[in-house]
Amino acid sequence: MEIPERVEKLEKSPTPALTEAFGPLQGIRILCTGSLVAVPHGATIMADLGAEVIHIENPGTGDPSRISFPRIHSNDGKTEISSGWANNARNQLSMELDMRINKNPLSREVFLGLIKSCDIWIENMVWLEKRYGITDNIVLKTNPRMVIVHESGYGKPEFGGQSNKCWRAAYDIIGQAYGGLSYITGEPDGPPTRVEPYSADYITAIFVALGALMGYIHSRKTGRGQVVDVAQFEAVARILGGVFPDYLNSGHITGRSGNKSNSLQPYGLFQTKDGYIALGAFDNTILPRFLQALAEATGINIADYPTEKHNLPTKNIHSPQGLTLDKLLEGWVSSHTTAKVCTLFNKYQIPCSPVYNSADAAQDYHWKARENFMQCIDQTTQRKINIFGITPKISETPGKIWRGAPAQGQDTDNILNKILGYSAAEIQYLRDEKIVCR
Amino acid sequence: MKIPERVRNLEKKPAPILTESFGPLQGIRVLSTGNLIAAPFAGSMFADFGAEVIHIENPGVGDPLRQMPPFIEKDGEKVSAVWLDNGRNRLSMELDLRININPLSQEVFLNLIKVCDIWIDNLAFPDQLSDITDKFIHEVNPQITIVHESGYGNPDFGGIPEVCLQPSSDLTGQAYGGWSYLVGDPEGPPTRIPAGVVDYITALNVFFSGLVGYIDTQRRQKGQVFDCAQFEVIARILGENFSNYFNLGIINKRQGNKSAVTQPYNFFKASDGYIALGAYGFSVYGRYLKAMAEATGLNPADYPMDEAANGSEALNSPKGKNLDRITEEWIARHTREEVASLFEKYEVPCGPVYNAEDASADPHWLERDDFITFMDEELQKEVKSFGFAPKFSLNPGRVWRGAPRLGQDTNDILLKILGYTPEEVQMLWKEKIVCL
Repeated sequence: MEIPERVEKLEKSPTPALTEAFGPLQGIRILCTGSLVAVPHGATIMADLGAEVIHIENPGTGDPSRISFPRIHSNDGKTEISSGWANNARNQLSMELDMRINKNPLSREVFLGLIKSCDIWIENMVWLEKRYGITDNIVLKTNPRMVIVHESGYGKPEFGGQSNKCWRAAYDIIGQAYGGLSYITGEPDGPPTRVEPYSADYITAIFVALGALMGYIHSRKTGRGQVVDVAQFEAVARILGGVFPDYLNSGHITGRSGNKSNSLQPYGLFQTKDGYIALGAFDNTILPRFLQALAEATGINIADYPTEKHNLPTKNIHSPQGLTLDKLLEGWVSSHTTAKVCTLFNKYQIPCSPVYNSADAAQDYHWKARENFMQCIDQTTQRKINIFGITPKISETPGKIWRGAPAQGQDTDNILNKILGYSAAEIQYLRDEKIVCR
Repeated sequence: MKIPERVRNLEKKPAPILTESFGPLQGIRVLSTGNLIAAPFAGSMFADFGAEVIHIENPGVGDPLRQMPPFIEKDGEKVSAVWLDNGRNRLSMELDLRININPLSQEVFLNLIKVCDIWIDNLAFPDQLSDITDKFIHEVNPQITIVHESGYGNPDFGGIPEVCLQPSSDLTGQAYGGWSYLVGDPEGPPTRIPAGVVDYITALNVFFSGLVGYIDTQRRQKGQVFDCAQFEVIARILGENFSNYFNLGIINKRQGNKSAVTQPYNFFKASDGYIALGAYGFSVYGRYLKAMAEATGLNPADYPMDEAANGSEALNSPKGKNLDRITEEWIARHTREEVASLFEKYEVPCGPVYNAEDASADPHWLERDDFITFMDEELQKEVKSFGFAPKFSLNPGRVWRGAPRLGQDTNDILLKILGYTPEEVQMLWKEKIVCL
C-alpha cells in the first residue's frame, strides 16, 4: 500500500490542538480505534492526565457502549446516553470515520493522516487487516515513531500462540475465565464467581496504557516506534501473584477459599450486626496488636495465643488455637455494629474497613475531601452529571476533566480541519462520500 | 535541613550499572522503599521491561512478602511462591531506613535519591516522621518522580488526616473502595477478590504514575509527586458504579454470575465444568442466535435484542427468560469442548473457566511463551513462573535474574552506584546501617 501524497506532505500539528493544555501527559496525541472498555478506558486514563485522545467511532452506529443500560436522560427527556459511556468517555474527542482504507482512498488519506499526527495508536478492532486493510507495516511506514498497541482477548499471532485462537472473539467475562481469575473467586463449594464490573476489561485497559507509555518513552529516546501486544488473558494472569508459580513449581492448584484466606488469619470479610467489614492483620508486627484488640473486646488471655501457633504457616490456622481465635473473632464481630468494630480495630492500627457500596462512599467525608467526585457536562444530553474523578493525584500538573463524554462524532470537523488541514469544502465532500459523519 | 556534602557531590552514573541492558525502559533507575505488593510490584513491572530497580529491605528481616505462603520447597530450601515471582529482576539492598534518627542512613538514602529517576514508596509516610519531606527530596534531586502509595492517600493531597494515617491492606482497599460489595450472589454476602489482586492493580497504578512522571520530567525538567490511594485506584475501575449513583440514584448491587443488564453474559455449567459465554452488541448477539438456532432449533426472529437481551426489563420478560433457559439447558447437556466449538464457529466469545493447571497445559499459553524458567537466587534452582505482559516487538521484557537473596546487592550498590569505598562499606556494616 502506498502512502498518499497528502499524508506524505502533512506536518504534525502541535499538540494539544483541540483539548485544553494541562497535566503530565500534555503534548502526547493518541489515536484510539476501539470500542467498549479495554481500549477506550486505557485512552481515558491518559486523557485524564492531559493526553489529546481521538476516539474513532463507526459512522452512524458509534461505540456500542453508548447504548448499554442504565441510561441518563437529558433534562427535557429527548436524548439519552448510557451511564457507563458518560463516565468512561469524558475527556475524549469523538470522530466518526469509515476506516475501510482498503476500499476507499479517501478513508486511507484520513486514517493515515491521523497516524501521521499521533504519537500512540491503541486499538481493539476485530479483523483489522481482513476487513479494514490496516497493517502494522503501513502504519510504521507512515509514522516510524508510532507506538502501536493492539489489544485483544487472546493476542496477535505475530507474538505467538495458536493462530486460530488468536482470532477468537472475547469479552471481559472470557478474559476472567480464561485468564484464571474467576476460578479462584468465591466459596470453596460454590461455582466460580464473576468479578463485577467488567473487571478483566478494566485491568486490561491499564495494561494498554502501560504498554503505550513504555513504548512512547522508548520511541522518544530512539526515534523508533514498535508494536505492543496486550492479550486480555495475560493481563489478568500477570496479576494473580503466587497462583502460577505455586502450580508450576509445586503442582498445587489454587482453588476458591471464600471470604477468608486459607493461609493467613485474620484475613477476610466478616459479617457484623449491620453489615460487613474487611479485616486483615498479616505479618508479625500487626498480629500482636490484633490480639490486644481482641483481648479488649473479648477478654482473651493473649499468652494463650502465641503468634506462631495461629499465623504462618497455613497449617497453623487450622490448629486448635487458630480455630478458636477465628471463632472468637467471628462471634464478637457478628454481635457488634460495623462502626463499633471498625473503631476498635482502628484504635489498634489494624487494617479494617466497612464494605462500602456507592452510596456509602458518596457520603464519606474522606472521599469527598479527596475531591473524588467531579462534575461535567455530558455532551449528548447536555446535562450536568457527577462522576468519579481522577487517579492518581498529582502535585504540580494534576489531571482534569476538561469536558464530559462527547456526542457521537462531535469533533469530526475540528479534527479534520485543525489537525489534518482539510478545508470546509473538502470536509463536505468527505461527508457526501460517507467517509465521515457529522 | 541541609543536603550532606557527599550527596551534593555525588555524580549520577547512567543506568544500568548492575542489571543487563534490555527492554523499552533501559536507562531508567528506580528506588523502591516499601513492602509486600502494592508499591513493590510496580518495581517488578519496571524491572521486567529493563529499568534498574533497587528494592530496599529491612536489615535482617527483609520484605514480609518473603514470608508469604505458600512456599516452594526444593532440597530443604524454601521460597515464597509470590516472592519468587515478584522479586525477579530486582536488586535487593538491606538498609536501615530510620533516616530521622541516623545521619549515616540519611546519607545513604539521599545518595540513592540522587542517582534514581523514580522513587516508589509505601512506607507509612516517611515525610510525616522526619524532616525528609518531598520538598527536601526535590532539593536533593529536582528531577525525581515521587510516587506514594497507601490505603487512604497522603494527607498532602487532601482527605481526613486521621483516615490517611490508618493502616490498610488489599482487603480494606477492596472493601472501602466499593469492589467487594459488587461481587457475588445477590442473596449472598459480598465476596473477597482473592490473590492480592487489589494490591496488584494498585501497583499497576503506581507503575503508571512512575511512567507518567518520567515522561513529564523529560518535558519540564522537573519532578513532582504522585499519590496513589488504593481505594481510589479501585473506585476508578468500577465503571458506572458512581455515575449510576449520582445521576440515576441507582446503587449497584451484586448480580451473581449472570449479568443483570445483558445476555447471554454468564458462567454456564457444562457437563464437565464451567464455561463463560458473552454476546454483547447487535452483531455478536445476532451470531449467538444463529448458533443457538443450529443447536436447538430456536427461531432467531423470536428474540430481538431489545426485547430479549438488552436491559433488565428485557432479561426479565418471558422472551428473555426463555432464551436464558434454552441456553442453559443446551449447555448443561454438552461438554465445554462442544460448547466452545459451536460458538467459535459463529465467532461468539466463549471460553472455559481455567485454573492454573488448565492454563499451564493449554497450547495457546505455551506458544505465547507465557511460562518462563529462571534461576531463583534463594533456592539456587530453576523455577518456573508466568512470563510477561504486555509483549513488545522491538525490545521485549526479560528476566535477567531470579528473585535475590536478602541484601544480595547491598555491597555492589554501595560500591558501584553510590561510590562508597570498601572501608566505608565496612563501617556502615559495623554501624548496622546496612547488612552484608
